[in-house]
Amino acid sequence: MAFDWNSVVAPLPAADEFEISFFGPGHGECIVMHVGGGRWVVVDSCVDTTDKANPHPVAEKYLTALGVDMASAVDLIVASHWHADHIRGLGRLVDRCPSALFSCAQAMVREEFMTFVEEMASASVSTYGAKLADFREAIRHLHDRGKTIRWAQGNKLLKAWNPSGALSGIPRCVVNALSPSDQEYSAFIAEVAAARPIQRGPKRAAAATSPNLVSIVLHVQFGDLSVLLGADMEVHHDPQRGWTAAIAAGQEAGLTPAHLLKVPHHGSVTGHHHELWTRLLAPRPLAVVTPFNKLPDERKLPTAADIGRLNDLTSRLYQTAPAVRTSSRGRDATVERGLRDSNIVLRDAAQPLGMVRCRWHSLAGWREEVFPPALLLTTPEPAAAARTNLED
Amino acid sequence: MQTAHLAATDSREYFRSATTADAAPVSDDMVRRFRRTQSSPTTQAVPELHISVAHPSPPPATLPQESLVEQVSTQLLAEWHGQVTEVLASSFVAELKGRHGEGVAGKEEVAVIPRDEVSPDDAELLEPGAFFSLCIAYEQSSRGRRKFTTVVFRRLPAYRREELEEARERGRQIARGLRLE
Repeated sequence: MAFDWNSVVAPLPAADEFEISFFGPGHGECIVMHVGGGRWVVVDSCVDTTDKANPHPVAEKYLTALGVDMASAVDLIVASHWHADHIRGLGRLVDRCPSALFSCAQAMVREEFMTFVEEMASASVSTYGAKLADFREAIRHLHDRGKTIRWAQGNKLLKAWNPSGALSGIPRCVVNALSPSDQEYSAFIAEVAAARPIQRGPKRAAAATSPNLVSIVLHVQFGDLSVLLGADMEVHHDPQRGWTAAIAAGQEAGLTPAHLLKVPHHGSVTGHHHELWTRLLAPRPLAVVTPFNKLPDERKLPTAADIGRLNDLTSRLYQTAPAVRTSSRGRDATVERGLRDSNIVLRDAAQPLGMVRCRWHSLAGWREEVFPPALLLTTPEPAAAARTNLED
Repeated sequence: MQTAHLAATDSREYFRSATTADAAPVSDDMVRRFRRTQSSPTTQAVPELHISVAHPSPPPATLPQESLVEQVSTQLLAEWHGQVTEVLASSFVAELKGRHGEGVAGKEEVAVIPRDEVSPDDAELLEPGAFFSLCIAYEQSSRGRRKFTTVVFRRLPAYRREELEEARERGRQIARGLRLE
Protein backbone atom coordinates (compact mmCIF):
# COMPACT_ATOMS: atom_id res chain seq x y z
CA MET A 1 0.00 0.00 0.00
CA ALA A 2 1.35 3.40 -0.96
CA PHE A 3 2.49 5.63 1.84
CA ASP A 4 0.15 8.57 2.37
CA TRP A 5 2.46 11.57 2.27
CA ASN A 6 -0.47 13.85 3.05
CA SER A 7 -0.67 12.20 6.47
CA VAL A 8 2.73 13.61 7.47
CA VAL A 9 1.92 17.18 6.55
CA ALA A 10 2.31 19.36 9.62
CA PRO A 11 3.30 22.89 10.47
CA LEU A 12 7.02 23.34 9.99
CA PRO A 13 9.06 23.02 13.17
CA ALA A 14 9.69 26.30 14.96
CA ALA A 15 13.09 27.91 14.50
CA ASP A 16 14.13 26.75 17.96
CA GLU A 17 12.62 23.29 17.60
CA PHE A 18 14.58 20.15 16.74
CA GLU A 19 13.02 17.47 14.58
CA ILE A 20 14.31 14.06 13.63
CA SER A 21 12.28 11.78 11.39
CA PHE A 22 13.16 8.16 10.70
CA PHE A 23 12.11 6.23 7.62
CA GLY A 24 12.78 2.53 7.14
CA PRO A 25 10.67 0.15 5.08
CA GLY A 26 12.62 -2.94 6.04
CA HIS A 27 15.38 -2.61 3.50
CA GLY A 28 16.57 0.95 3.37
CA GLU A 29 16.65 3.79 5.79
CA CYS A 30 16.83 7.55 5.90
CA ILE A 31 16.91 10.19 8.61
CA VAL A 32 15.79 13.78 8.11
CA MET A 33 16.61 16.39 10.75
CA HIS A 34 15.62 19.99 11.34
CA VAL A 35 18.59 21.58 13.08
CA GLY A 36 17.00 24.97 13.78
CA GLY A 37 16.30 28.11 11.86
CA GLY A 38 14.75 26.26 8.92
CA ARG A 39 17.95 24.36 8.14
CA TRP A 40 17.83 20.61 7.37
CA VAL A 41 20.14 17.61 7.34
CA VAL A 42 19.63 14.26 5.58
CA VAL A 43 21.46 11.11 6.66
CA ASP A 44 21.39 8.23 4.17
CA SER A 45 18.77 7.64 1.52
CA CYS A 46 16.11 5.14 0.61
CA VAL A 47 13.32 5.41 -1.91
CA ASP A 48 9.57 5.10 -1.68
CA THR A 49 9.11 1.84 -3.56
CA THR A 50 5.40 1.84 -2.78
CA ASP A 51 4.94 4.64 -5.29
CA LYS A 52 5.66 2.86 -8.57
CA ALA A 53 5.20 6.02 -10.63
CA ASN A 54 7.54 8.15 -8.49
CA PRO A 55 9.97 5.96 -6.55
CA HIS A 56 11.88 9.00 -5.36
CA PRO A 57 14.00 9.43 -2.22
CA VAL A 58 11.85 9.56 0.89
CA ALA A 59 13.71 12.67 2.08
CA GLU A 60 12.60 14.47 -1.07
CA LYS A 61 9.02 13.31 -0.64
CA TYR A 62 8.91 14.27 3.02
CA LEU A 63 10.45 17.71 2.66
CA THR A 64 8.26 18.42 -0.34
CA ALA A 65 5.18 17.39 1.66
CA LEU A 66 6.21 19.83 4.40
CA GLY A 67 6.73 22.58 1.85
CA VAL A 68 10.49 22.85 2.38
CA ASP A 69 12.58 24.09 -0.54
CA MET A 70 15.21 21.36 -0.68
CA ALA A 71 17.46 23.24 -3.04
CA SER A 72 18.14 25.96 -0.49
CA ALA A 73 17.21 24.50 2.91
CA VAL A 74 19.22 21.26 3.05
CA ASP A 75 22.68 22.09 4.37
CA LEU A 76 24.20 18.65 4.87
CA ILE A 77 23.82 15.19 3.35
CA VAL A 78 25.68 12.31 5.00
CA ALA A 79 26.11 8.92 3.33
CA SER A 80 26.96 6.75 6.31
CA HIS A 81 28.29 3.90 4.14
CA TRP A 82 27.68 2.33 0.72
CA HIS A 83 25.36 -0.55 1.55
CA ALA A 84 22.39 -0.61 -0.79
CA ASP A 85 19.96 -0.03 2.06
CA HIS A 86 21.56 3.34 2.80
CA ILE A 87 22.24 4.88 -0.62
CA ARG A 88 19.27 4.23 -2.88
CA GLY A 89 18.25 7.48 -4.49
CA LEU A 90 21.39 9.23 -3.22
CA GLY A 91 22.28 10.56 -6.68
CA ARG A 92 18.91 12.23 -7.10
CA LEU A 93 19.02 13.56 -3.55
CA VAL A 94 22.41 15.21 -4.10
CA ASP A 95 21.18 16.61 -7.39
CA ARG A 96 18.10 18.13 -5.72
CA CYS A 97 20.11 19.71 -2.92
CA PRO A 98 22.81 21.72 -4.67
CA SER A 99 23.58 23.87 -1.65
CA ALA A 100 24.16 20.91 0.68
CA LEU A 101 27.59 19.91 1.91
CA PHE A 102 28.17 16.21 1.26
CA SER A 103 29.94 13.97 3.72
CA CYS A 104 31.02 10.34 3.55
CA ALA A 105 33.89 8.22 4.81
CA GLN A 106 37.28 9.26 3.50
CA ALA A 107 37.87 5.81 2.08
CA MET A 108 34.83 6.17 -0.17
CA VAL A 109 36.26 9.15 -2.06
CA ARG A 110 39.80 7.90 -2.46
CA GLU A 111 41.17 6.88 -5.82
CA GLU A 112 41.06 3.19 -4.89
CA PHE A 113 37.31 3.22 -4.34
CA MET A 114 36.51 5.58 -7.22
CA THR A 115 38.39 3.24 -9.53
CA PHE A 116 36.47 0.26 -8.15
CA VAL A 117 33.19 2.10 -8.72
CA GLU A 118 34.07 2.79 -12.36
CA GLU A 119 35.25 -0.77 -12.92
CA MET A 120 31.99 -2.16 -11.63
CA ALA A 121 30.02 0.33 -13.70
CA SER A 122 31.74 -0.94 -16.81
CA ALA A 123 30.12 -4.34 -16.33
CA SER A 124 26.90 -2.77 -17.64
CA VAL A 125 24.76 -5.25 -15.78
CA SER A 126 22.36 -4.45 -13.02
CA THR A 127 19.14 -5.44 -11.37
CA TYR A 128 16.88 -3.22 -9.37
CA GLY A 129 19.23 -2.89 -6.44
CA ALA A 130 21.39 -0.35 -8.17
CA LYS A 131 23.80 -0.04 -5.24
CA LEU A 132 26.95 1.57 -6.48
CA ALA A 133 25.20 3.33 -9.35
CA ASP A 134 23.46 5.61 -6.85
CA PHE A 135 26.71 6.45 -5.12
CA ARG A 136 28.46 6.94 -8.46
CA GLU A 137 25.75 9.35 -9.59
CA ALA A 138 26.06 11.37 -6.38
CA ILE A 139 29.84 11.64 -6.68
CA ARG A 140 29.56 12.66 -10.32
CA HIS A 141 27.16 15.48 -9.45
CA LEU A 142 29.59 16.73 -6.80
CA HIS A 143 32.55 16.40 -9.16
CA ASP A 144 30.84 18.22 -12.01
CA ARG A 145 29.70 21.05 -9.74
CA GLY A 146 33.08 21.39 -8.08
CA LYS A 147 31.46 20.85 -4.70
CA THR A 148 33.48 20.22 -1.60
CA ILE A 149 33.17 16.86 0.13
CA ARG A 150 33.83 16.81 3.84
CA TRP A 151 35.13 13.35 4.59
CA ALA A 152 34.32 11.96 7.95
CA GLN A 153 36.50 10.25 10.52
CA GLY A 154 36.46 9.71 14.25
CA ASN A 155 36.03 12.94 16.20
CA LYS A 156 35.65 15.32 13.26
CA LEU A 157 33.27 18.27 13.08
CA LEU A 158 31.11 17.98 9.99
CA LYS A 159 29.04 21.12 10.31
CA ALA A 160 27.86 23.68 12.86
CA TRP A 161 24.96 26.12 12.81
CA ASN A 162 24.85 29.31 14.80
CA PRO A 163 28.15 28.30 16.44
CA SER A 164 28.61 31.57 18.30
CA GLY A 165 24.97 31.83 19.33
CA ALA A 166 24.70 35.10 17.40
CA LEU A 167 21.22 34.21 16.17
CA SER A 168 19.12 34.78 19.26
CA GLY A 169 16.40 32.26 19.93
CA ILE A 170 18.01 29.53 17.80
CA PRO A 171 20.06 26.94 19.69
CA ARG A 172 23.57 26.20 18.56
CA CYS A 173 23.76 22.94 16.61
CA VAL A 174 26.83 20.83 15.91
CA VAL A 175 27.15 17.55 13.97
CA ASN A 176 30.24 15.51 14.82
CA ALA A 177 31.42 12.24 13.31
CA LEU A 178 32.70 9.58 15.73
CA SER A 179 33.92 7.19 13.06
CA PRO A 180 35.41 5.63 11.02
CA SER A 181 38.84 5.20 12.54
CA ASP A 182 42.14 5.20 10.67
CA GLN A 183 42.27 1.43 11.02
CA GLU A 184 38.88 1.12 9.33
CA TYR A 185 40.15 3.23 6.47
CA SER A 186 43.08 0.88 5.88
CA ALA A 187 40.93 -2.24 6.21
CA PHE A 188 38.35 -0.89 3.78
CA ILE A 189 40.92 0.00 1.14
CA ALA A 190 42.38 -3.51 1.47
CA GLU A 191 38.92 -5.07 1.03
CA VAL A 192 38.21 -2.97 -2.03
CA ALA A 193 41.53 -3.97 -3.54
CA ALA A 194 40.66 -7.63 -3.05
CA ALA A 195 37.21 -7.18 -4.61
CA ARG A 196 38.35 -5.38 -7.75
CA PRO A 197 37.74 -7.18 -11.03
CA ILE A 198 40.58 -8.67 -12.98
CA GLN A 199 41.20 -8.94 -16.67
CA ARG A 200 39.52 -12.05 -18.10
CA GLY A 201 37.59 -12.45 -14.84
CA PRO A 202 33.79 -12.75 -15.15
CA LYS A 203 31.71 -9.61 -14.93
CA ARG A 204 29.53 -9.33 -11.86
CA ALA A 205 27.77 -6.78 -9.76
CA ALA A 206 29.45 -5.04 -6.87
CA ALA A 207 28.87 -6.91 -3.65
CA ALA A 208 29.47 -5.43 -0.26
CA THR A 209 32.05 -7.16 1.88
CA SER A 210 32.02 -5.71 5.37
CA PRO A 211 31.70 -1.96 5.00
CA ASN A 212 29.56 -1.64 8.12
CA LEU A 213 32.70 -0.84 10.04
CA VAL A 214 33.36 2.25 7.94
CA SER A 215 29.94 3.52 8.94
CA ILE A 216 29.76 7.08 10.13
CA VAL A 217 28.39 7.36 13.67
CA LEU A 218 27.04 10.86 14.23
CA HIS A 219 26.58 12.90 17.38
CA VAL A 220 24.21 15.84 17.05
CA GLN A 221 24.15 18.55 19.68
CA PHE A 222 21.18 20.94 19.56
CA GLY A 223 21.26 23.29 22.52
CA ASP A 224 21.02 21.02 25.57
CA LEU A 225 19.76 18.10 23.52
CA SER A 226 22.02 15.35 22.18
CA VAL A 227 21.23 12.67 19.65
CA LEU A 228 23.37 9.71 18.60
CA LEU A 229 22.91 8.08 15.20
CA GLY A 230 24.52 4.64 15.26
CA ALA A 231 24.36 3.90 11.49
CA ASP A 232 25.28 0.24 10.93
CA MET A 233 28.29 0.29 13.22
CA GLU A 234 29.20 -3.08 14.71
CA VAL A 235 31.55 -4.42 17.34
CA HIS A 236 35.06 -5.54 16.38
CA HIS A 237 37.62 -7.39 18.48
CA ASP A 238 40.28 -4.83 17.52
CA PRO A 239 39.89 -1.88 19.94
CA GLN A 240 40.99 0.45 17.16
CA ARG A 241 37.99 -0.53 15.08
CA GLY A 242 34.19 -0.68 15.31
CA TRP A 243 32.25 0.56 18.34
CA THR A 244 35.22 0.53 20.72
CA ALA A 245 37.01 3.08 18.56
CA ALA A 246 33.87 5.19 18.04
CA ILE A 247 33.13 5.27 21.78
CA ALA A 248 36.71 6.31 22.49
CA ALA A 249 36.39 9.12 19.94
CA GLY A 250 33.20 10.32 21.60
CA GLN A 251 34.77 10.32 25.04
CA GLU A 252 37.85 12.08 23.80
CA ALA A 253 35.65 14.84 22.42
CA GLY A 254 33.79 15.11 25.71
CA LEU A 255 30.41 14.82 24.06
CA THR A 256 27.22 15.13 26.05
CA PRO A 257 25.38 11.82 26.64
CA ALA A 258 22.63 11.46 24.06
CA HIS A 259 18.92 11.44 24.83
CA LEU A 260 17.88 9.73 21.62
CA LEU A 261 19.53 6.85 19.80
CA LYS A 262 19.14 5.59 16.28
CA VAL A 263 19.88 2.00 17.22
CA PRO A 264 22.93 0.71 15.33
CA HIS A 265 22.73 -2.06 12.75
CA HIS A 266 19.01 -2.76 12.98
CA GLY A 267 19.25 -3.67 16.65
CA SER A 268 21.47 -6.69 16.07
CA VAL A 269 23.62 -8.14 18.82
CA THR A 270 26.68 -7.49 16.63
CA GLY A 271 25.89 -3.79 16.88
CA HIS A 272 25.51 -3.88 20.65
CA HIS A 273 28.35 -2.54 22.79
CA HIS A 274 27.72 -2.20 26.52
CA GLU A 275 29.85 0.95 26.83
CA LEU A 276 27.79 2.72 24.20
CA TRP A 277 24.96 2.70 26.73
CA THR A 278 27.05 3.70 29.71
CA ARG A 279 29.39 6.25 28.15
CA LEU A 280 27.66 7.92 25.22
CA LEU A 281 23.99 7.73 26.17
CA ALA A 282 21.87 9.17 28.94
CA PRO A 283 20.05 6.54 31.05
CA ARG A 284 17.09 4.95 29.25
CA PRO A 285 17.08 7.13 26.16
CA LEU A 286 14.39 7.29 23.53
CA ALA A 287 15.35 4.96 20.68
CA VAL A 288 14.34 4.14 17.12
CA VAL A 289 15.31 0.95 15.31
CA THR A 290 15.07 0.36 11.57
CA PRO A 291 14.42 -3.28 10.63
CA PHE A 292 16.29 -5.34 8.05
CA ASN A 293 14.01 -7.95 6.53
CA LYS A 294 15.77 -8.92 3.34
CA LEU A 295 17.21 -12.12 4.78
CA PRO A 296 15.20 -15.28 5.56
CA ASP A 297 12.60 -14.72 8.27
CA GLU A 298 14.67 -16.55 10.87
CA ARG A 299 17.47 -14.01 10.32
CA LYS A 300 15.41 -10.85 10.24
CA LEU A 301 16.48 -7.95 12.41
CA PRO A 302 15.74 -7.02 15.07
CA THR A 303 15.06 -10.42 16.62
CA ALA A 304 12.76 -10.89 19.61
CA ALA A 305 15.85 -11.11 21.80
CA ASP A 306 17.16 -7.84 20.35
CA ILE A 307 13.87 -6.12 21.11
CA GLY A 308 13.88 -7.47 24.65
CA ARG A 309 17.41 -6.20 25.25
CA LEU A 310 16.61 -2.79 23.77
CA ASN A 311 13.39 -2.47 25.74
CA ASP A 312 15.36 -2.97 28.95
CA LEU A 313 17.70 -0.15 28.01
CA THR A 314 15.32 2.46 26.64
CA SER A 315 12.39 4.52 27.82
CA ARG A 316 10.51 4.15 24.56
CA LEU A 317 11.51 2.05 21.58
CA TYR A 318 10.06 2.58 18.11
CA GLN A 319 10.48 0.54 14.96
CA THR A 320 9.94 2.10 11.54
CA ALA A 321 8.33 -0.95 9.88
CA PRO A 322 7.51 -4.59 10.57
CA ALA A 323 10.48 -6.93 10.62
CA VAL A 324 8.71 -9.55 8.53
CA ARG A 325 8.58 -8.92 4.83
CA THR A 326 5.21 -9.28 3.12
CA SER A 327 4.73 -11.94 0.47
CA SER A 328 4.30 -10.94 -3.12
CA ARG A 329 0.98 -11.88 -4.70
CA GLY A 330 -0.80 -12.25 -7.98
CA ARG A 331 1.16 -15.13 -9.45
CA ASP A 332 -0.40 -18.05 -11.23
CA ALA A 333 -1.23 -20.96 -8.91
CA THR A 334 1.02 -23.31 -10.87
CA VAL A 335 3.94 -20.96 -10.45
CA GLU A 336 3.22 -20.75 -6.74
CA ARG A 337 3.30 -24.54 -6.53
CA GLY A 338 6.56 -24.64 -8.45
CA LEU A 339 8.14 -22.20 -6.03
CA ARG A 340 6.76 -24.06 -3.04
CA ASP A 341 7.96 -27.43 -4.35
CA SER A 342 11.46 -26.00 -4.62
CA ASN A 343 11.32 -24.24 -1.25
CA ILE A 344 11.87 -20.90 -2.93
CA VAL A 345 10.50 -17.98 -0.95
CA LEU A 346 9.68 -14.74 -2.74
CA ARG A 347 8.88 -11.50 -1.00
CA ASP A 348 7.79 -8.24 -2.54
CA ALA A 349 10.71 -5.83 -2.86
CA ALA A 350 8.36 -2.92 -2.30
CA GLN A 351 7.66 -2.93 1.40
CA PRO A 352 5.30 -0.66 3.32
CA LEU A 353 7.02 2.51 4.38
CA GLY A 354 6.72 3.66 7.96
CA MET A 355 7.90 6.78 9.72
CA VAL A 356 8.65 7.95 13.24
CA ARG A 357 8.81 11.70 13.80
CA CYS A 358 10.26 13.13 17.01
CA ARG A 359 10.16 16.85 17.73
CA TRP A 360 11.91 18.41 20.70
CA HIS A 361 11.66 21.83 22.25
CA SER A 362 13.54 22.98 25.32
CA LEU A 363 10.29 23.91 27.05
CA ALA A 364 8.04 21.08 25.89
CA GLY A 365 10.44 18.13 25.67
CA TRP A 366 9.81 15.30 23.21
CA ARG A 367 6.71 14.91 21.07
CA GLU A 368 6.63 11.68 19.06
CA GLU A 369 4.39 10.67 16.18
CA VAL A 370 4.16 7.23 14.63
CA PHE A 371 3.00 6.73 11.06
CA PRO A 372 2.05 3.07 10.42
CA PRO A 373 3.35 0.56 9.77
CA ALA A 374 5.88 2.07 12.17
CA LEU A 375 5.14 0.97 15.71
CA LEU A 376 5.96 1.45 19.36
CA LEU A 377 7.70 -1.67 20.71
CA THR A 378 7.86 -0.64 24.34
CA THR A 379 5.69 -2.70 26.61
CA PRO A 380 3.89 -0.53 29.16
CA GLU A 381 5.32 -0.97 32.63
CA PRO A 382 3.04 -3.03 34.91
CA ALA A 383 2.31 -0.09 37.22
CA ALA A 384 1.47 2.19 34.32
CA ALA A 385 -0.71 -0.47 32.71
CA ALA A 386 -2.59 -1.04 35.98
CA ARG A 387 -3.10 2.68 36.39
CA THR A 388 -4.47 2.92 32.86
CA ASN A 389 -6.87 0.05 33.54
CA LEU A 390 -8.17 1.73 36.69
CA GLU A 391 -8.74 4.95 34.82
CA ASP A 392 -10.69 3.03 32.19
CA MET B 1 -1.51 -17.60 -18.79
CA GLN B 2 1.18 -16.51 -21.18
CA THR B 3 2.83 -19.09 -23.35
CA ALA B 4 6.37 -19.05 -24.61
CA HIS B 5 6.21 -20.01 -28.26
CA LEU B 6 9.41 -21.84 -28.90
CA ALA B 7 10.15 -22.85 -32.45
CA ALA B 8 13.40 -24.69 -32.13
CA THR B 9 14.91 -28.07 -32.55
CA ASP B 10 16.82 -27.88 -29.33
CA SER B 11 16.20 -26.52 -25.83
CA ARG B 12 19.23 -24.29 -26.36
CA GLU B 13 16.91 -21.86 -28.07
CA TYR B 14 14.97 -21.53 -24.87
CA PHE B 15 18.00 -20.25 -23.04
CA ARG B 16 18.93 -17.96 -25.87
CA SER B 17 15.53 -16.35 -25.58
CA ALA B 18 15.54 -16.39 -21.81
CA THR B 19 18.87 -14.68 -21.27
CA THR B 20 20.25 -11.45 -22.58
CA ALA B 21 22.41 -11.06 -25.62
CA ASP B 22 25.64 -10.86 -23.69
CA ALA B 23 25.17 -14.22 -22.03
CA ALA B 24 27.50 -17.02 -22.99
CA PRO B 25 26.34 -19.75 -25.40
CA VAL B 26 24.01 -22.31 -23.94
CA SER B 27 25.85 -25.42 -22.90
CA ASP B 28 24.68 -29.01 -23.00
CA ASP B 29 24.71 -28.93 -19.24
CA MET B 30 22.34 -25.97 -19.11
CA VAL B 31 19.93 -27.86 -21.32
CA ARG B 32 20.21 -30.97 -19.19
CA ARG B 33 19.56 -29.00 -16.02
CA PHE B 34 16.62 -27.23 -17.54
CA ARG B 35 15.11 -30.60 -18.25
CA ARG B 36 15.55 -31.76 -14.68
CA THR B 37 12.22 -32.81 -13.26
CA GLN B 38 11.11 -31.02 -10.11
CA SER B 39 7.68 -32.55 -9.76
CA SER B 40 5.79 -35.62 -10.82
CA PRO B 41 4.13 -35.89 -14.22
CA THR B 42 0.56 -34.67 -14.20
CA THR B 43 -2.51 -35.76 -16.07
CA GLN B 44 -3.76 -32.27 -16.77
CA ALA B 45 -4.81 -31.06 -20.17
CA VAL B 46 -1.96 -30.91 -22.64
CA PRO B 47 -1.18 -27.44 -23.96
CA GLU B 48 -0.50 -26.80 -27.60
CA LEU B 49 2.79 -28.11 -28.89
CA HIS B 50 5.31 -25.76 -30.34
CA ILE B 51 8.64 -27.43 -30.66
CA SER B 52 10.22 -30.72 -31.53
CA VAL B 53 13.14 -31.69 -29.38
CA ALA B 54 15.49 -34.59 -29.91
CA HIS B 55 15.54 -37.07 -27.05
CA PRO B 56 18.64 -36.29 -24.98
CA SER B 57 19.63 -39.91 -24.25
CA PRO B 58 21.68 -41.95 -26.74
CA PRO B 59 19.33 -44.32 -28.59
CA PRO B 60 19.57 -48.12 -28.16
CA ALA B 61 21.14 -49.52 -31.30
CA THR B 62 18.24 -51.84 -31.99
CA LEU B 63 15.49 -49.19 -32.25
CA PRO B 64 14.50 -47.76 -35.61
CA GLN B 65 15.65 -44.18 -36.06
CA GLU B 66 12.12 -42.73 -36.41
CA SER B 67 11.11 -43.79 -32.89
CA LEU B 68 13.94 -41.83 -31.32
CA VAL B 69 12.44 -38.41 -31.95
CA GLU B 70 9.91 -37.41 -29.32
CA GLN B 71 7.54 -34.50 -29.58
CA VAL B 72 8.20 -32.23 -26.63
CA SER B 73 6.53 -28.95 -25.85
CA THR B 74 7.94 -26.45 -23.39
CA GLN B 75 5.70 -23.86 -21.84
CA LEU B 76 7.43 -21.15 -19.90
CA LEU B 77 5.30 -20.15 -16.93
CA ALA B 78 7.51 -17.65 -15.18
CA GLU B 79 10.96 -16.24 -15.48
CA TRP B 80 13.01 -13.88 -13.32
CA HIS B 81 16.46 -12.42 -13.75
CA GLY B 82 18.31 -12.34 -10.45
CA GLN B 83 21.39 -11.08 -8.74
CA VAL B 84 22.88 -12.82 -5.72
CA THR B 85 23.24 -10.51 -2.75
CA GLU B 86 24.23 -12.91 -0.01
CA VAL B 87 25.22 -16.56 0.18
CA LEU B 88 24.14 -18.37 3.34
CA ALA B 89 24.88 -21.88 4.60
CA SER B 90 21.98 -23.64 2.92
CA SER B 91 20.44 -20.94 0.76
CA PHE B 92 21.20 -17.70 -1.00
CA VAL B 93 19.44 -14.35 -1.07
CA ALA B 94 18.83 -12.62 -4.37
CA GLU B 95 17.11 -9.64 -5.89
CA LEU B 96 14.81 -10.61 -8.72
CA LYS B 97 13.18 -8.76 -11.54
CA GLY B 98 10.28 -10.56 -13.17
CA ARG B 99 10.63 -11.02 -16.93
CA HIS B 100 7.75 -13.26 -17.87
CA GLY B 101 4.54 -14.60 -16.42
CA GLU B 102 1.25 -13.54 -14.93
CA GLY B 103 1.86 -11.55 -11.77
CA VAL B 104 5.59 -11.87 -12.35
CA ALA B 105 6.65 -9.64 -15.25
CA GLY B 106 7.91 -6.26 -14.16
CA LYS B 107 7.77 -7.00 -10.43
CA GLU B 108 10.79 -6.66 -8.19
CA GLU B 109 11.17 -9.25 -5.50
CA VAL B 110 13.57 -10.60 -2.94
CA ALA B 111 14.13 -14.35 -2.99
CA VAL B 112 15.59 -16.93 -0.67
CA ILE B 113 16.59 -19.91 -2.81
CA PRO B 114 17.94 -23.23 -1.49
CA ARG B 115 21.48 -23.93 -2.62
CA ASP B 116 20.21 -27.37 -3.69
CA GLU B 117 18.68 -25.63 -6.69
CA VAL B 118 22.13 -24.76 -7.98
CA SER B 119 23.74 -27.54 -9.95
CA PRO B 120 27.21 -28.68 -8.90
CA ASP B 121 28.52 -27.31 -12.18
CA ASP B 122 27.32 -23.83 -11.26
CA ALA B 123 28.40 -23.98 -7.64
CA GLU B 124 31.55 -22.00 -8.35
CA LEU B 125 29.45 -19.22 -9.85
CA LEU B 126 27.35 -18.80 -6.73
CA GLU B 127 28.79 -15.70 -5.12
CA PRO B 128 27.51 -12.24 -4.26
CA GLY B 129 27.09 -10.22 -7.43
CA ALA B 130 26.48 -13.24 -9.70
CA PHE B 131 23.59 -13.14 -12.17
CA PHE B 132 21.19 -15.94 -12.92
CA SER B 133 17.83 -16.81 -14.42
CA LEU B 134 15.11 -18.54 -12.43
CA CYS B 135 12.51 -20.28 -14.58
CA ILE B 136 9.42 -22.36 -13.97
CA ALA B 137 8.13 -24.22 -16.99
CA TYR B 138 6.11 -27.19 -18.15
CA GLU B 139 7.54 -29.78 -20.48
CA GLN B 140 5.04 -31.96 -22.28
CA SER B 141 6.12 -35.22 -23.82
CA SER B 142 4.61 -38.62 -24.50
CA ARG B 143 5.51 -39.51 -20.92
CA GLY B 144 3.27 -36.78 -19.50
CA ARG B 145 3.66 -33.25 -18.33
CA ARG B 146 6.42 -32.25 -15.99
CA LYS B 147 6.97 -29.01 -14.14
CA PHE B 148 10.52 -27.71 -13.94
CA THR B 149 12.17 -25.17 -11.74
CA THR B 150 15.62 -24.23 -12.84
CA VAL B 151 18.31 -21.84 -11.73
CA VAL B 152 20.84 -21.14 -14.45
CA PHE B 153 23.77 -18.88 -13.73
CA ARG B 154 24.86 -16.53 -16.43
CA ARG B 155 28.41 -16.72 -17.60
CA LEU B 156 28.97 -13.11 -18.48
CA PRO B 157 31.71 -11.96 -20.80
CA ALA B 158 35.04 -11.45 -19.13
CA TYR B 159 36.45 -8.01 -18.45
CA ARG B 160 38.64 -6.83 -21.29
CA ARG B 161 41.90 -5.10 -20.56
CA GLU B 162 40.87 -2.00 -22.50
CA GLU B 163 37.62 -1.47 -20.64
CA LEU B 164 39.27 -1.99 -17.27
CA GLU B 165 41.97 0.52 -18.17
CA GLU B 166 39.35 3.01 -19.31
CA ALA B 167 37.37 2.52 -16.11
CA ARG B 168 40.46 2.95 -13.97
CA GLU B 169 41.37 6.13 -15.79
CA ARG B 170 37.86 7.48 -15.24
CA GLY B 171 38.11 6.60 -11.55
CA ARG B 172 41.47 8.34 -11.26
CA GLN B 173 40.18 11.44 -13.00
CA ILE B 174 37.12 11.68 -10.78
CA ALA B 175 39.09 11.08 -7.58
CA ARG B 176 41.65 13.69 -8.50
CA GLY B 177 38.94 16.16 -9.43
CA LEU B 178 37.11 15.93 -6.13
CA ARG B 179 37.49 18.75 -3.65
CA LEU B 180 38.03 17.15 -0.28
CA GLU B 181 38.37 18.73 3.12
